[in-house]
Amino acid sequence: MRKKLLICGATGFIGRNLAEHFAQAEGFEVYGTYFKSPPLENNKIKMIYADLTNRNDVERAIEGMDVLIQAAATTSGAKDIVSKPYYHVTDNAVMNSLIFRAAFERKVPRVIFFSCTVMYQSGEVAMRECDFDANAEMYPNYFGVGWTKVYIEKMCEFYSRIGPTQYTAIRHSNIYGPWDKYDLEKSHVFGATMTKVLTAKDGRIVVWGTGEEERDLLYVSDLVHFVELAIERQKTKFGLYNVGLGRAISVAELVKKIVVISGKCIAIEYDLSKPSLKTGLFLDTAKAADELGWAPKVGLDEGIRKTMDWYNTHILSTRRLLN
Amino acid sequence: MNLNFLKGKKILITGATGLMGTHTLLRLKELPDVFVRATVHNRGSFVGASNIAYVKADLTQADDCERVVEGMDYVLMFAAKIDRQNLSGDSTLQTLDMNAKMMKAAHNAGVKKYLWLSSATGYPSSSVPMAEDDMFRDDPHESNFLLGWTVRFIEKLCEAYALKMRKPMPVIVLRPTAIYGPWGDFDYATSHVLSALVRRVVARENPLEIWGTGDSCRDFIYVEDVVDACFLALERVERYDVFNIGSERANSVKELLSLILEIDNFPDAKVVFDGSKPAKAPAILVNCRHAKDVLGFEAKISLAQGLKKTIIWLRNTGS
Repeated sequence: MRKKLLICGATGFIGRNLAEHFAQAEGFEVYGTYFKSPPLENNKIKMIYADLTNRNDVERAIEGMDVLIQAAATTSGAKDIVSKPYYHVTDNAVMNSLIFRAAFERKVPRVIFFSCTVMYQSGEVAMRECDFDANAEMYPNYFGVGWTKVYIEKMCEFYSRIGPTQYTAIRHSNIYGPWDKYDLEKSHVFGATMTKVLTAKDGRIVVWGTGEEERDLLYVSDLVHFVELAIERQKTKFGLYNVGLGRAISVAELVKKIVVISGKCIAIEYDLSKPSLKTGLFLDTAKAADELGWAPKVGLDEGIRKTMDWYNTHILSTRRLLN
Repeated sequence: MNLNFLKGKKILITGATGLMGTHTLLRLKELPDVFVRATVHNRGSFVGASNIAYVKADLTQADDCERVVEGMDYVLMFAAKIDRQNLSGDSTLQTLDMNAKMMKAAHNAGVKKYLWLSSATGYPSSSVPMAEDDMFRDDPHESNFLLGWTVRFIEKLCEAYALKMRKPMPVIVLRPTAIYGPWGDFDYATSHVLSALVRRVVARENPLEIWGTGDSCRDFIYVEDVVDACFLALERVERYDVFNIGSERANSVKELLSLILEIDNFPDAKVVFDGSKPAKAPAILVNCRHAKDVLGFEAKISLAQGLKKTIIWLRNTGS
């Protein structure tokens, strides 16, 4: 019998990649929630309109599901994020608590939650799951989101103990690939660089700061593959896993790679009047390898190439059509 | 203690009909120059005085938080939702929700000092008293895992409002141990071990069946001492700080029970411990040196004195 799989937040970057993958896979009947964005148009994905901060909507959406993948985040606080960054910090905690509690009451067998890696300190060695140090000062910009994610991971652990639901919490590094945000206002470093390079008009792009900041970048299909393995192979009632490429690349290196792969001739300038922090983080993914047999399959060059192909087909061609 | 520093101030007390709220209001009703707004949700006892105005409010609603905090100088955040029977986490998460909404409303309204009555349940279980920095040494005990983590998370939110905002709000966090006293919660569904035992002894329940082995240790603090700590903190603390507030005495459930039996003169009670019932945290104990150094705080009422007052009150109210 096919398993009913619900993706909360199916119109977002990670949600959409998951939904489209599982819609093609054997054995799943795929459902997805949408709220502010238009629903996905794919006849293999049943879209459900749901405000996940509303108890009734949550209960209606998860009714009868076998697997619940929680990839939704609240967006209500977008306008306060700079001036009052803590006004909406708890919104996500409250939303997740509604979802987990409903999963507990309806005895949903499986829940997957996407955490993050901002709770880790920056360092010269690969971070293991147990290296999170709650007494160390969190990087100031990440204080709210970092503690919220840690707290939600603890909620997962709690609900895995009191009910039948099996939980996975994924501390994933920076994910990139198709359907990420590429407009310069909302995008992260990968999306922004891709857009800057592929739309550069005057043969140059500007990088903020020295570009020394280092990231662990993982192609989205590797994250999707991890989710698939966790559903299939996780034995423990609660599992917390690092999922990343396992090595760090500086922003400066990343920009060079994207320029080279694009085949364009572009000068790179560093705007040193902008702040830059020498920070670096990369993940030790031995636990995911040992317990689930997971390893990343897509290297950075290949990932950049795939993303660029997708960008050229989906974004640039649309733009050309519009023009 | 002298409360002159409150003269002319406007204070909001949330959870005003609970144990802490009632005793704080009993203190404040003697001060006509202090304006007190007290929130009520759906139950409780009331303190009548010309300077106290009760307002009905559901603090899980942002509008209600904004309405009650408007124009206030100080906030004493005592409101919490506790349900020891429904273990699905519902009440804990409502407590988180109201704290988040209240803090936001207070920050917006320009509150000058905000005191959150946190709890020592955030600590890991340990027979060695914990100092403030020891909170994250381990997870809280399994029996209060979610509550403990929620307490920790709300404290992080307090820290953010006090230290990480462009326009910070001074927030003070107190971590009291198990508070008890007259007007406490004696409802079996929601009360903690001391209140439940007092009620059962006063009711002459016999035999007395006690869940667990009776060996788990707690620090019990009389409500008046915690009220003192709140006022000391409001008077003396100007920026974010966290204080353990306890009696610094460890009593096992067995010891507690024999003291109650002695004070209430019930020597014939037959006590049965049922070790097969789910265990509570073996020990939650705190070290209060920081409160002593900065606030000059020390608990004054002994467990025997406090129990006497509590038992007399319970007998007189006829519960």
